[in-house]
Amino acid sequence: MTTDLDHAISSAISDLVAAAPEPLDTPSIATITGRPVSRRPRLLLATAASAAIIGGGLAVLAVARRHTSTDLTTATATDNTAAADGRGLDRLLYPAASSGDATAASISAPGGRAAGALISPTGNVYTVNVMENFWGSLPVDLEQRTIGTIDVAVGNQDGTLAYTALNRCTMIGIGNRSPESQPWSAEAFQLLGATTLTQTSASISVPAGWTSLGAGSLGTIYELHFDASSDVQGVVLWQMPGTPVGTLLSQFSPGAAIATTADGATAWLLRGTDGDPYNYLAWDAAGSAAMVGVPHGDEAQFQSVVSSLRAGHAAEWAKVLDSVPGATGADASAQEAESGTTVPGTRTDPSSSCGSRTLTITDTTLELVAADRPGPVHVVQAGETWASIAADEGLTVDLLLEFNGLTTAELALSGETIDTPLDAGTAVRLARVGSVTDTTVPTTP
Amino acid sequence: MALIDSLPDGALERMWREHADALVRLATVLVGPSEANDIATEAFLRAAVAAQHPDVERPRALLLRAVVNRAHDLRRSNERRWRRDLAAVGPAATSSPDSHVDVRRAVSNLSLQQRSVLYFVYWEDLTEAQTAELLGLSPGTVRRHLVRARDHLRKALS
Repeated sequence: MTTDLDHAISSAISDLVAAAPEPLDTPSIATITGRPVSRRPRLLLATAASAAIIGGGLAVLAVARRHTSTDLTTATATDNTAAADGRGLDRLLYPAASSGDATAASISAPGGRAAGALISPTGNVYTVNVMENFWGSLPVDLEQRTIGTIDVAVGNQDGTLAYTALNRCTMIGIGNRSPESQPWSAEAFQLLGATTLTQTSASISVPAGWTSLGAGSLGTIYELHFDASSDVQGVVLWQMPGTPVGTLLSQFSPGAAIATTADGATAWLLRGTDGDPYNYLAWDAAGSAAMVGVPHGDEAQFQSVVSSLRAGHAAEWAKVLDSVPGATGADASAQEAESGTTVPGTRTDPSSSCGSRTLTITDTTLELVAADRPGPVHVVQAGETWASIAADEGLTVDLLLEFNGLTTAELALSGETIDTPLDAGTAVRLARVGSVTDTTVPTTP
Repeated sequence: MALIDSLPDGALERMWREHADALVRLATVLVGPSEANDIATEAFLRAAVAAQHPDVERPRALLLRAVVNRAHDLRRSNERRWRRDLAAVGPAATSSPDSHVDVRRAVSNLSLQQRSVLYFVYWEDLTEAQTAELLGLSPGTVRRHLVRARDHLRKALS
């Protein structure tokens, strides 16, 4: 029988569906509906690519659309929290490398998953991306194996591999996309061997001879466009306060190339792929990742930026970033706090069934640990029920249900009982959420 | 590039044209209109190769599930904006406060999983069993999501 509530829900869903935009003509060019700032989606997409899931397949999503200053202004005014917070547009002088005006400062908040990068003894940069509940999205034709208790999938194009934990809550993608890399590379497996992965934590002990470039979650990105004309893509500058450069690099899966050093910082050359509108230079600006993008094909301008960095102008670029209202300091911290940051440099990544996680980094350890740890969990085996698990764990059924936010009355509403078989592979909490305080964050190298 | 390139010429575009409307609709319900195309295209490109695999009997279901997975994947940083987008959706004529708007706002506050279930049950007219199969959940779990979502929305209406 259809009730008033059903009508209301149908109507609400109908409203939402009616707002659906027209699908893009082709999935191979990702224009950004109502938000012409083209950088952010590539970051997100590259994350998956660097995890070796469908590797180069995602590269076709690189945004080819040309945007204008006017578009960006509009987008900033309507879409970004920067505008809402009164920290929107600003005009800034272009640094010494070139000429022109900065036309906009915008803020976007990309995905917050954990990521980092390491350099192998041979100079290859390996990226590490930690994701949750991702295994089911893997293409079925990837080469997959089970090694011990972990499942491993290998990208057949990019020399990358990915693997997952017991209950598939946590997955790590290890990637290296340098042209000379090979699938199942010895270096990738060395990292795999250095990794400890459980349902609530993941860590890589940086092997001897390797160097960590830092790890963390992508936070807020501040994006500045330097574009004097209205219809040509100009130089774009990004800064991610508090985000280590390794996390930024992980979004690109860079090769081994080191472009230049200036002011004591290593600048990484990130050549955009075909269809990508930019080539990039990224470096660590006092603990915050910074990156300059130059339109693809504009070699002269790119070399100009390289020269600027070589000449020691990285600090000047950083000063430009510093001058953006809200780009650094208290405002930035406040915004991060809203999105779940706990302490500077340590970000939590809430998940539904796997508990919240925090990725942290020391000189010797790249580690993902449970911050709001769900406590001990039990991975449901086929045929197990609330009653059987409670009996096995020495708990009362009511207590077990309470740990998992349920009551017998709610079960009954769902047409279930304590003897209804549960979904195999899911995690059942054996303690109250948040009842365990994390103490495993490494504090010394 | 190899995986996508391994598809026959035009296969990707044909599959996109066939499923794009459904994928974008679902993405809109999950994340709001401004991110819907992003989510739909990302999910599509992730799952397109798998969906063409001869072992896959229902490619549409796989693609829809990929949209749900992709939305989950990006949930943390975007949830607040998504909720804002969703709550703001609706014909201009409904701008005055009424229960209809309240329900829409309440829908935007449901979990992604609950929103997914509502979409498939109330828009796609799938049964709970069909929804469970599509989302890879047990019928009991779908039932639980549905009960909780309806309970939440009932309170929003009262």
